[in-house]
Amino acid sequence: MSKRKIVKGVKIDEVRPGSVTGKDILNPQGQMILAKGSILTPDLIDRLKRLGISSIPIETEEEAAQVDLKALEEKIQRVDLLIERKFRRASPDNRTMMGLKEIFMEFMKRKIANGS
Amino acid sequence: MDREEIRAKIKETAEVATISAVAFQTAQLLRNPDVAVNKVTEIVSLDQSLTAKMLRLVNSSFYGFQGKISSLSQAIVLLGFNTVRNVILSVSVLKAFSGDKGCKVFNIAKFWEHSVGTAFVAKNLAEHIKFKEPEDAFIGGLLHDIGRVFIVQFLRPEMGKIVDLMTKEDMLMREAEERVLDTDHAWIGYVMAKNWHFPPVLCSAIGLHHAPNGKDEEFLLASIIHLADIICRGMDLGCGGDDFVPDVSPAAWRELSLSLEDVRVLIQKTDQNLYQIEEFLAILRS
Repeated sequence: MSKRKIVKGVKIDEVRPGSVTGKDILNPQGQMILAKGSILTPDLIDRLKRLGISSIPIETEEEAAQVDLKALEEKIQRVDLLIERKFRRASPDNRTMMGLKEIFMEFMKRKIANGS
Repeated sequence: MDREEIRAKIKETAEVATISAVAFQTAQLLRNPDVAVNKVTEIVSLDQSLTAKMLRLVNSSFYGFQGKISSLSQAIVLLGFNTVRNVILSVSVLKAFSGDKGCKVFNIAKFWEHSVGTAFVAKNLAEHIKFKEPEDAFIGGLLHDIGRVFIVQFLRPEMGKIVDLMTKEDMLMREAEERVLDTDHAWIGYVMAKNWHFPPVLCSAIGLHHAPNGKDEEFLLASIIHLADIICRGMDLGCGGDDFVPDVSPAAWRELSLSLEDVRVLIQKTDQNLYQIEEFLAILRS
């Protein structure tokens, strides 16, 4: 899985504690107030707000997640094939077996969606 | 090779595929609920490696006493006779077959993963329906396909034919066994369990796990193992031989009186046991 990091400006009111700064933060005079790679605590966010900072460059992996969507779809297709194959003997009239088939399919897809 | 010849072969090889005399005696002793704890510890301690492995298992996260059990007598007090007996039987049976590395056509690692997976599903299922001995369900699940290990180990040419037939005609391994051997792994497992003097209810559960019948506890335990095997196949935990999810026996389904929602809950519960399944497998392999 690719984990390309990108830096995105986030409004100070929307910054979540625990986020990491993606660039040095400077005040209007050009002096550095927070170095790149700092972890933002509620306290720090508050202080930046009081210094008049309105937007903070935050490091995210959002784009990497988008790329993985395709891999996810492929995985889900493989689950369909796997379960179809496992149930190739079951008659469509057998309600218990069709019910089980649906349950296993859902279980496996949820596992994939949860990242395993 | 027909049924009679296979039965003779099982008898003849019983010496090789046997569980240790210590385990055998212990299993016998622990069937009596009034047996003295020191009598049991006296016998088990004769087999050092059995004792060591048993202690590792009872200290695994599965039993909830991680690292706190340091002796057999403590294990009996904390876990009860039934659990200790089953742990000793599991360890011994697996030890008897540990030399076997499977063969090209049969992946033994996947096989044990399926067996341990079925054991966990069976125990969860037993607890769910309030079956009185969930530990019996566990060991029944663990050993339900033990007849297959016998085929791999002692009937190697027949195993080759079984796999060929199964692949060529896209059938269940059990059906191919039936065609080649005139019997199947369930019956072979039943004969083995009887030879080892396993509790009768366990013998019949192994023998009947593909077509549960009989009465009361016997029927119920066989039904538990039957459905656990199927759930394990659906969850894709290991591989017992073929890749089918075969039809649930309507008789077993009635006997268990479960809804599909119950099955969903069981799958989720077992999914949370994956770490314990891994741990259990690692100890058995060691």
